[in-house]
Order: sequence, then C-alpha cells, then structure tokens
Amino acid sequence: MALSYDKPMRTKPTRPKGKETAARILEATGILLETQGYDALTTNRIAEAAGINIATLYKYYPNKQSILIAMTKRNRGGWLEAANQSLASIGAGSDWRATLEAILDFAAQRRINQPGGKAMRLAMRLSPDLQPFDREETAETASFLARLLVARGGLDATYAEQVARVAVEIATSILDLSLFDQSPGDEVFLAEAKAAICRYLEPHFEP
Amino acid sequence: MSLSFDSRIRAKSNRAKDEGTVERILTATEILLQEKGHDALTTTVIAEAAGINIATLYKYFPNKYLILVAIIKRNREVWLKAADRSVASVLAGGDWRVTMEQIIDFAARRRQDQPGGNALRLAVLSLPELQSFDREESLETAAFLSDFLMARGGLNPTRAMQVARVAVDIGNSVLDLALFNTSENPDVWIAEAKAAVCQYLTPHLER
Repeated sequence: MALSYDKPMRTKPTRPKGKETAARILEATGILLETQGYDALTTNRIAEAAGINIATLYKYYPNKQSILIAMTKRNRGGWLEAANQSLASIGAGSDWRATLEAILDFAAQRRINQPGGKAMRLAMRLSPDLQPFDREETAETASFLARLLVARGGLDATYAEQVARVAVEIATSILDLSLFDQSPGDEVFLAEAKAAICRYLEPHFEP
Repeated sequence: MSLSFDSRIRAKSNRAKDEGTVERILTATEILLQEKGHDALTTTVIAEAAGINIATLYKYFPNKYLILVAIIKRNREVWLKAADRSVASVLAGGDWRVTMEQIIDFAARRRQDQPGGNALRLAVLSLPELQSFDREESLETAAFLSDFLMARGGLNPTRAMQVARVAVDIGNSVLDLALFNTSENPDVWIAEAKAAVCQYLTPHLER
C-alpha cells in the first residue's frame, strides 16, 4: 500500500467552512481517542462524531493515520514554540534546571489536559505508521537544546546534537512510562523525568 | 483416543529431532533478519532458508510472530542470567558503576553482535504483536535492579521498583537511538547510555 502520510490533507481547506470542517474532524478525533482509545478509532466513527458525511471526511483525510498526523502537527507548532522560548531564556542566563523542569511540566500537561492526549501519545509510540512522526518531533525538540548546549555548555556541534537527542529521548520515554502503567502515576514519572534529565545534563551545563 | 496416544509417543521419541528443527528455524530467522530485516520475513522464506518443508514449520509455529517470540524468549533467558550474575557481583562488594556499565555493554552487544539483533530490536519496537514482550522484559530486568537498590541503596520496595523501571527505560531508549541513527558510530549511544543511567542512579547508591 502506497499511502502517502506526508501529504495528509487531500484538499487544503481555504474557505472558512472547509477550515471549520477540518477542525471539527480533529476535535471529534480527540474526544474519541479520550473516550475509546486508538484501537477503536475508525474514519466512520470520526465522521459520525463530527456530524459529517464520511465522503466529506475523505475529502480532507484519506485515513485515520493522516488525521492523527494532522493533530500532531497542529500540536507540535505550539509545543516547539514554547520549548524554543524557554530554552532561549536559558541562553539569556536563567536557571537551566528550573527552565528544563518547566518544559517537562509543559510536556506532561500536553498529555494530561488535551482531550485524547494520552491515547494519541500511545498511538504515536506504538503504531508503526506514526512512529516516524514521533521521531521527527523528538529531533526538532533536540535541535533547540543542541544549540543551547553549544552556546552555554561549549560543546562542539556534533556532540551537542547527540547529547540533546539523548536528553529528549530520556525525558520522553520516562513520561511515556505512565501510558503503560497506571501506578505509580503521572506525578512520579514526571518527577523522575526531571531528575534524570537534569542529572544527565549537569556535567554539560556546569562543567 | 489411541490416535492422540500414538502422537504423544511419536512426539516423545522425536524430541531431539524436534529441538533440532526448532533451532534451525530460529537460526534461519535470525540470519534473515540480519540480511533483509523484519519486513521481508515470511514463513515461506524462513522454511526455505532452514531447508525444511513449510508444513514442517507450521507444525512448530503457526506464524512468523511466534518464531520471533521464541527468539526473544530464548535471548531473554541468557540476558536475565547475565543481569542476575552482575547484580550478585555488586552485592558481593563490586563497584556498582563498573557493573552497571558492564550490563549496558552486554545489552548493546546483544543487539550488535547477535545475528539479526538490531533487526529484532526494531521489530520488537514497531510490531504491535511483539511490543508487550518488550515491556515484559523491561519489567523483569527492573526487578533485578530493584532488588539491588533495596539491598545496596536502602530504598523501600515501592520506590526501588520505580527507580529501577526508570533506569531500565533510560538504558533501553538511549541504546535504541543507534537503531534510528545508523550513520553515527553506535559507541556514542553506549557511552551516553552509561552516563545517563549512572548519573540517574548516583543519588540512590551514594549517600
């Protein structure tokens, strides 16, 4: 099957009505993810929940994966902007630990507060169709951190990129542990993600 | 029924032959994984590479996933024994950092040196049929580390298991970066996995 996930939208909505329909599809998907999880998600159910015809849905999205990718990309914009701003404040001299902890709080909030946030994260993590998009986001987040490690820690560019990839990977996968296990809960994994990333980066920020 | 009795006798008298056939299937699968990756894997190709009839293969394994599961379980025994020995050596007075680094080296070698090791790891991460086995193995590994954190670091059982799970997750996810960044020297990720795990565990083991 040659499904192209890189072109998730068949028709780019330009008119207000089209944009509204696309937004309704994404919103309905978020609610379905929250209430029923990724496995139960079908384009038919999404169309029904969004109150639109399935043919209309297919006008915008060829399959459910492309809808999830659209959601990811929509969320990613806000996330990368927030992460970038916070990291820039470290570059300007603010406390690196407090700032990284605030970024992790933000990342954890994304999953908890957004409808379907956890189910979507689980899908990104487990579905082979979506995993490449997850890695893409990780790499983008890491590139901000890498620049900072060069500027503030004096690392060479290649090593900074590697350390940043490791740091983002550690934080993401520790936060993800709460997707698979109800206990000990989000709070504990969030605290451990902060501890792990700060201890790992300490020698680079405080040589 | 006399028929089932007969087949039991036959299975018994042929046990050595059965084990030989199973081993040939597993070895052929590992080599195919190494050469072609998990996408190209089919029971037909495996039977051919093992030099057996497809009907014989189906006598032992109904599908390719169960062959992969058999490899995972076989490898896991070796791995958990090694982890157990390492923990015992630290409890006998060895340096915990050296031991932790040895365990990470061992985990990295499993992927690199074993035929199809990296391809199997990729399959475990991306095939929904195998993902639960990965979590199972992480939990078993964490159980060893947890015992160690209680004995050597004085953590209570609940806390020890939390820290152990996070540490195992850090080690795995950093080592996994090698799978997706094949242009870089895999030793980089091994070194960073060691640094990240040891720095995360230091406050618990050196107080």
